[in-house]
Amino acid sequence: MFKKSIANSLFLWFGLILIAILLPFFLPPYFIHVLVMILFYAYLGTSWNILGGYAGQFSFGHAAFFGIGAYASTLAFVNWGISPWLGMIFGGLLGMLLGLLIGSLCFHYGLRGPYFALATLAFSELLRLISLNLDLTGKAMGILIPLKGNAPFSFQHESKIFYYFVILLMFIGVLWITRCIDKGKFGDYFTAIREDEDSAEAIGVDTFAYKLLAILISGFLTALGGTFYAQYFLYIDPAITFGVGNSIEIFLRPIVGGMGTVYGPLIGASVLGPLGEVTRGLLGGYQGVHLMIYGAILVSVIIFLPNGIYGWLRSLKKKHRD
Amino acid sequence: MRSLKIENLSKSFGGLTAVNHVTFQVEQGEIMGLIGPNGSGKTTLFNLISGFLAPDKGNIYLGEKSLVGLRPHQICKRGIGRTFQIAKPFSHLSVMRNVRTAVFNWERTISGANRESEGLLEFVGLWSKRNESASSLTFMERKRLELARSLGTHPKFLLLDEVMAGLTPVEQQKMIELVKKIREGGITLIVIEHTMQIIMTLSDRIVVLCFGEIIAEGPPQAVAQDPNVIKSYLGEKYRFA
Amino acid sequence: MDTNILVQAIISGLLMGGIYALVAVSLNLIFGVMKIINFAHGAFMMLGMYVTYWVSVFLDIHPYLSLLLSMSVLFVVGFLIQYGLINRIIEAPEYNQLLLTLGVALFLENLALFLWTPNYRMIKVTTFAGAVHVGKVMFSTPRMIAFGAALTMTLLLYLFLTKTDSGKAIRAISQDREGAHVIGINLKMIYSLAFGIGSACVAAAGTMITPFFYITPTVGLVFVITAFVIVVLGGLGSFWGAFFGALIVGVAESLGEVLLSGSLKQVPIYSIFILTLLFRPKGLFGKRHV
Repeated sequence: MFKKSIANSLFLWFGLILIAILLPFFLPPYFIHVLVMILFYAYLGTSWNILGGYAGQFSFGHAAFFGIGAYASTLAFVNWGISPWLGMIFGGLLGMLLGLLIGSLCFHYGLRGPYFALATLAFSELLRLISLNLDLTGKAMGILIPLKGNAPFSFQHESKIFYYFVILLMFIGVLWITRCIDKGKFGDYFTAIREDEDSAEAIGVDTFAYKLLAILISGFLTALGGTFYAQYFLYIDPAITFGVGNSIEIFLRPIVGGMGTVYGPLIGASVLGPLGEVTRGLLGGYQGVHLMIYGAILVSVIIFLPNGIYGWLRSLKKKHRD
Repeated sequence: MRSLKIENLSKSFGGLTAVNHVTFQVEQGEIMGLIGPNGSGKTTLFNLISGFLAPDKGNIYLGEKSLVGLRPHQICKRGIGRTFQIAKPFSHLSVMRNVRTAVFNWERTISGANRESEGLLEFVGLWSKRNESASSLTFMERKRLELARSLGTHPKFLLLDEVMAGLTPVEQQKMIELVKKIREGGITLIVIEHTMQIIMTLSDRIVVLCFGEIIAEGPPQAVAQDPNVIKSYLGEKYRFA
Repeated sequence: MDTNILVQAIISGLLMGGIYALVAVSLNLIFGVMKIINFAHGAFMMLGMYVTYWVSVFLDIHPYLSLLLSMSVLFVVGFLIQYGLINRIIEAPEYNQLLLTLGVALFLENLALFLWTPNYRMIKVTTFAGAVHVGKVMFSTPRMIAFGAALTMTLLLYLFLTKTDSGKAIRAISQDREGAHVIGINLKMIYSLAFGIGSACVAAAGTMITPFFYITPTVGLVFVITAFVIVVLGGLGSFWGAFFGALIVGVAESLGEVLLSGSLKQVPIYSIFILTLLFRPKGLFGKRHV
């Protein structure tokens, strides 16, 4: 029976991967775009989740990492012709450095909970203001990335299918990282820190070091997402990248789907993505109109499904068993 | 053999002196009882020893090395563990993973850590619940888990903060057996308790705190008959045979 | 640097600081009582501004005349949100309440965007407009009136909290929730009352600044973030901390505007914020343990 369940889950995974690979070839570009956006926010949410969901340090300022990655790779490409693939890694490293700065300051002074959240917000806002006023970053006009047509080595393509596979791989990557964390030593440590820092310290967990590790990993991965965004939309500006709205969109998926779980952000992205598209289609008008629905969903989830959709499904499964 | 030396330790909060020039020594292998009325500074003393508070004056030595200024996790790695008055398991982890978190201080591999955790759970009598969520444990089981967790860090000294509180007499008996088993394993214990009967039976030596100062120290019988202790803590009418 | 410009900046900063004071003090009321970081505070201010706008456009009256209306509307809105939504999760961890108010803010702001477009609106006033000149320094009349009104409201709020039974009940709860519950204070009602009052106050601030401030759905965001900075700087839970913190921040922002370029004026504010969080999280007057 044991072997059967392994065989079953392998079969399931194989099937899913096959579908994921074949799907975009049968869909019109708009739907591929929707899939890309779902995977994109699932990626960002999963990256955020490592710090916010697992380590329990809720960040309101992940746009800071996002923006640094986006601007780093974009500036490297536009000013010095460096391939955005390399720029992406460079941006990731910058994101990690930023995480080091924010983390060591905040954690050394023991900022927790809402205070930490507000501090991260302040940092992302500072970066937004700086990029708004620097000539280097194009100020409010932002930066347009020159069209290169079908140039996969320059991280560009005319077909959305290219971007779909890139983000799919990126997402599978962070998913795998999260799964390793979830089951292993880091999962134990992060969860301990999240639930009771004092008890964690008392049993030998270096809470400062591990919180820092979480923000380093999360910052690095989120910055990579910033580069992807830049290369997909070919335009960035301070508001889009460093704005509070971006931070909110990032943590909204894990909250709705389930914080501190492997698949929570994906579930959240799968729900919010299509919902946002449908809302925009029905109500038309402004770019932010879907946020109205997101706000209502956030309120509903907090009241009725405090453990997110994944948590709710798990509790249903438990009730079903009893 | 290393001893734990508390030298002239003082700590104040605002105008309130919680611990006042406290000096004592704990030798390896003994069970030292720490008693005193509420607010006498017992838990503050534990917090100072385990690194959660920094002393205003004085020093704490493990062997020759000072522990002052070290963070709690460093003190834990040096061999001093502690439990908290209110046992809080990590509710999103299974019982086994709760212990495993502590074991990872000494074990590199997951399989090794799992094995040692299971051993510890067996020691405290929680092996059958190892895969349950820690949030499903009863009050007594949480205390057992708290002990298993601290033991996972391979402590040489273990500070037990009111581990008997809230237990029924039957459960208390079981807990006393467990504490004795821990001592037999070679771990030195400092035990804070309120129930005189328990402290008398468990301890080799007792230190009595009152308003942050040591008012008596010695074998249980001597302390129980000490006039200062009777006046400040036990009350005139207390009789202990 | 011309001293007149500096003096002017300080004056303007103080006048705006008065408005910030009302916003911060009402935010502090909500935090002090319910330990809720209310992200929707800015959205309520925005709604107050829009109520004033539409009333003054449709009835062709001076915005000040809509003060009582905007306060009443937002009192009801705030009361209902606390009563119907937040009260349900009062036992939940802090984060959940924070996120809930964020959800409310998201909903309200984007509803406003949808209904009224992002276009900036302005109310043109002819009475109580203009300015008073003292030497080379100019005191804008609407700003002075707003300052005066904000101070008055702040004072009234203070008197309410210290002299009335309901106010004392509110303070009792913020100091000792369990104790207040035990002596029979209806927690849920008081929470809703406090939330309603806080919302009404911030709506008043909104109404009073309509003669000189652009009205747009996202106007609340800047105010709520500034209010957080102030409340943290002054010390969460401290009434006078929020008040004086507001004046300090108002002046800092104004000086920033004069000494740095345009939007960089907020850099000093965020920097003060981060420094306060790191080095003195209790704030200048804070009583609460962080």
